[in-house]
Amino acid sequence: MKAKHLLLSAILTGAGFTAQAQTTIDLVLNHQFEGASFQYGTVYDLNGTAVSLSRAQYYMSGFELTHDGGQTTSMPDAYVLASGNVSSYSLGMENITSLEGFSFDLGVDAVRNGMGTQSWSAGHPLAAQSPSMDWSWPGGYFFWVLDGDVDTDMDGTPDQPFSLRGLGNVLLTDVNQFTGMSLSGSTITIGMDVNIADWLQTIDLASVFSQHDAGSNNQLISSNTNDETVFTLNASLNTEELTLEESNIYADYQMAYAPTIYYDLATANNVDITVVDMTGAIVLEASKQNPEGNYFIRKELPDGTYLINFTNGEINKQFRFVIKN
Amino acid sequence: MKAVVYFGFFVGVALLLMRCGSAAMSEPIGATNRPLMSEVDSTEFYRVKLGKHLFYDPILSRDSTISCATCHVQELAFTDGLPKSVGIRNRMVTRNSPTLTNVGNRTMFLLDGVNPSLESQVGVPIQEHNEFDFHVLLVIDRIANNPTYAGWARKGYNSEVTEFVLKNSIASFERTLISDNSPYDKFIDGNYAALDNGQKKGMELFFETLNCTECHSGPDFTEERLTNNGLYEVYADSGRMRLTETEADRAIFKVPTLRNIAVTGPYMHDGSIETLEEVIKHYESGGHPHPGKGKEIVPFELTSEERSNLVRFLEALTDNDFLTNPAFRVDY
Ligand code: HEC
Ligand code: HEC
Repeated sequence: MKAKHLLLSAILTGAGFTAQAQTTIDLVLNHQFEGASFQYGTVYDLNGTAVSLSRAQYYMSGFELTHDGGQTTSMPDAYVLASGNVSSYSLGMENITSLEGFSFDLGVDAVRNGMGTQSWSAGHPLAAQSPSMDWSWPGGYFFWVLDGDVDTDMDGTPDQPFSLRGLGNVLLTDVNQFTGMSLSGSTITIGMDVNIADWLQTIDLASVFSQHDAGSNNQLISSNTNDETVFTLNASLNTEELTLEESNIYADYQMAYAPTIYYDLATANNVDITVVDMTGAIVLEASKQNPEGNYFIRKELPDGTYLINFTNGEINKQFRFVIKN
Repeated sequence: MKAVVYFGFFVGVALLLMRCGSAAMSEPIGATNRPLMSEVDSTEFYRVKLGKHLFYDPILSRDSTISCATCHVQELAFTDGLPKSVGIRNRMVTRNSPTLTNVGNRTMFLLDGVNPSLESQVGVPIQEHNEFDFHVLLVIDRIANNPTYAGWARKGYNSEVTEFVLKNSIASFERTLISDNSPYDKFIDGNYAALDNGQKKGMELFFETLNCTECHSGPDFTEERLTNNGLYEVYADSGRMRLTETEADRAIFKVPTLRNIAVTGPYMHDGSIETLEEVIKHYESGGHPHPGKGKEIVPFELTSEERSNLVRFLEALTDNDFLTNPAFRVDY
């Protein structure tokens, strides 16, 4: 990917273009929970109540950049499907030299929200995901998925599941304009802290159970996005800084017959992934994957225990998970 | 040299042609005939063929036990005869399976019209816990592993099996499910003897005397008005409100087509009314009070002869060619 970008700018310069060079724009999201670094399955204190999350994913779209003395450029095709365990995203390339500000929407704009996952080729953030980011019956995307458990008997252990998934065009949320920036270079990296706790403020999680709709609690998540400060600029963030000291791996068992493994590894380099069964036979493999991501066990496997291995020269990490059909 | 296959049915383009003022809405109208041709070896031919086979193939369900055709049976005009459908592992679906008659003419899908396209709708049973309970990416893998299907995808789409291929091929098949050869259509086409006297009297009741066409209008007896027909005072199914969360949408449903209605019982979103006669008695009563109820639902009285004429008119909407057309089946 990087090599391709370089090649393209080389061609542009070589051809004698005097126009501004294409600048790669990256996004780094530092997910946290009230200042603590965010991890699935970790128990956090939310205003005196214990909560943990098993999934935190959301769409960002409608990016608009302010640059080079107040010009604006919109990026209508830049979609980010952000995950709580993943910090690095690429927005694409634009003709800008110095980035002064930007804004975006939480959710997916109405036109694309009505087009259906089948309109996108595999791998696009709007294509079919696992676990699903769309709910097929109303034909729209979950603008966010915040699934987890909340403590209802005040013993400090989350015991009751909640699932908040915003669905419906009314929830498309302008996120406050970010200004006063001055970033330049061949790659511009926008760094933001994302405080997941702020989305959940004032929501009575014990009474949520499953709300996949545009109802009042999902409207609260929408309004909390700005009234609280879920997204804040963090000019100094870059991917290297976010490299962990310890790897985090978590299995999402919403589809117990085909789980997704959420991982965030203590390395900045790509990894090879293999999935083996108990006899040691390889059932799935993928090479040169990002050191953070969501790996879908996209294969129908018999019931049993399996191991997923993440390796590169630096790390060698195993995680055990089960398949239950 | 390419042979031309006539699937033996015609497309109703009447929808486009017949949209006149509201006075004309209460005139009987039939489908205007246009031959739908699909050339053998055309891309469309392979799209429909692939979609038809997928419609009948249980590999779309997680445990490979049921297919679309389990709940959408041709002889029943693609319904299942049950009050509410049953999915894998005998899981109960919350609604009655609707007919797929002329479903390609619809612009909104599901009983409350919340789904935007036939393509998107294919994803619903795949994902629903009570239906196929599966994941679209794993369905695609199963289809891609079938060399016959992969071959048809190549011929129809010049592509490997993708989500688009899966959804568009099934939708393409569904768009061929055209019914326009009922006795009523023959009558509209000028065959005056296609309806008997009682049916003609029933037709007059339907189009002129009663309010039916305020909702069941147009060539398919629906123009997708979203309303309520006073089935209950309190509904177990919240209708369109399940998506919009708006009180005004409570128990609001899409007006259903009445084509092939005599073979699609039991009736209503929950299959709670068994016969057409009882449906008419429901309308005669004026229904239960409900804030969303269409103002046209008001009590009226029919003699038993009139009621039976109206039922017999509705029976004249049954298109036997549609129910038996071999082009809608696969023969294993
Ligand atoms: C378990 C039974 C079941 C299966 C399997 C099933 N359906 Fe359905 N179908 C239903 C029910 C029930 C509804 C109404 C659902 C609702 O309104 O929420 C429906 C609605 C539809 C509609 C909307 C029709 C309209 O007029 O709005 C279409 C189209 C459809 N199904 C096609 C399919 C296809 C294609 C498949 C296979 C991929 C399929 N169905 C599998 C039961 C089933
Ligand atoms: C105000 C609009 C309205 C009027 C007027 C109306 N209907 Fe309906 N009809 C509906 C709606 C909405 C449904 C679906 C209700 C449900 O599923 O709960 C329906 C359902 C039906 C059904 C069952 C369809 C099925 O597939 O289950 C039949 C039959 C029917 N109507 C016949 C008639 C007749 C005959 C008249 C005239 C006496 C009439 N309707 C008048 C709105 C209307």
